[in-house]
Amino acid sequence: MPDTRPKIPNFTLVEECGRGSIGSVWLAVDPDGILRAIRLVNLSDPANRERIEAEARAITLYRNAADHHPNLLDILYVGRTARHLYYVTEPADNAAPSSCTYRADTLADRLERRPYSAEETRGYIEALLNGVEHLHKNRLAHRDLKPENILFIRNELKIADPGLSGSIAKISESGTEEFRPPGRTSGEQADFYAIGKIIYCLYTRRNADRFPEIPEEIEIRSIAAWNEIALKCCGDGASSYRSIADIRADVRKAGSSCRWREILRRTGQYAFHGL
Amino acid sequence: MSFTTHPSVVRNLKDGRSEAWNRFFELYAPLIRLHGKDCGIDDDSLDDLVQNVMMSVFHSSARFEYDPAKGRFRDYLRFIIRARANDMLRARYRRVNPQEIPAVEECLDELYSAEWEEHVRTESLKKLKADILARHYQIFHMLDVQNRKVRDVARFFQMSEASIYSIRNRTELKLRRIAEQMDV
Repeated sequence: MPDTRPKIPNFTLVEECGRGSIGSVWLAVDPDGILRAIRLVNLSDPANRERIEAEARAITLYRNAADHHPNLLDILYVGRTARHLYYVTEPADNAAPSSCTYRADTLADRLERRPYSAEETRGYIEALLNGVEHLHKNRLAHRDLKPENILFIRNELKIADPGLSGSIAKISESGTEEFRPPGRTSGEQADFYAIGKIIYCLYTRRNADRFPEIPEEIEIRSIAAWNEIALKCCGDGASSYRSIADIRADVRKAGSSCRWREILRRTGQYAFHGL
Repeated sequence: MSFTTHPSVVRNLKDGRSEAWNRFFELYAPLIRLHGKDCGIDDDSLDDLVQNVMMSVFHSSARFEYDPAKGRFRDYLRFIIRARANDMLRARYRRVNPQEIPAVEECLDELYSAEWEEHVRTESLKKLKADILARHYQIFHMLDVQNRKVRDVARFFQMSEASIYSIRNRTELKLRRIAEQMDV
């Protein structure tokens, strides 16, 4: 059977581990035998040319801004072949139960499959805010923040998939529907909105399209502070936060006042531990 | 999400714009499938039924003029779903045995009515969610859907009980108005 795996110079592609509308993500091995992740963007479809060029610009901007920040995925190399634009990164941790298979450790995966403590929740949010704040300080907005685009590498949260990144002031309506504010907004506002939705997903363990419904089984007093932050980020379509620092201040207050034990006591599915 | 009342959805189809078709599909495909099942259409053929109904609506949309005095939209849609489902059943039974077509018209009306009510309720809530502040929707949802106590909800939002009651009443009124617009 012919080998249909894409050819990328100096890398051996091992396994496809993700697929999007214009590309795919592969696990690959470099010449030193080190495991890497390679995101390939297909250049062969002329209909996508504009989007591909926009993605190439976004990757360059993000790469320059990321600058080894601990909560931003480092882009190690960007290249092109006749068929693909590609960039090389470290792979996410393996969330699969067996080392024989690979499943990227993402926030989406943890939301779906793993119990997490209140302390972990606050850690996720603080790390997310640190990464986004660094981008914003470099006048860059991510524009596609969502649990699927948040990876864990050596158990450290990293914001990935910068393909829609652009100026924080640029007005547009790009991004994933459930995490995108209604109408056209600045990149900065879009990121605040998406952070609100991610916080909602974390304290309700519901998909973002259910926002703002609070699950019936939750004892509401225990999540009041988190809910307030989510509403302020995206309650009426326009964020009332002006900076990441404002969100962080509220997150710290929420973290200290939160009564997670009640959640644990009342619902089986909220298996928070370490309390 | 843009909102359009039922007759305006059909009117927009006249222009043949893809958004109008997408909106029509989004709004009615679940109802068509549900009622198609009642009519005896099997799961594998429900997509065909949706397509056939949409084609019929497309052909009649050029002549479509909504006049509430002449009839309700829900009945117009019911007629088309039933007619296309019967076409499909006839074609199927013709291949098997022409005497086996079940006479189901009368008992289907009651089912359709319940399904329409549910459709109006679901779509009205979607519209309400898109139209009002998320905080107000949460208050409504906690009180009217989850039956939580006003006192608990007031504490949760750090608002007075009077404010909570007021928001709830305004939201209920808005929902009623939306439902009235949808139920045509």
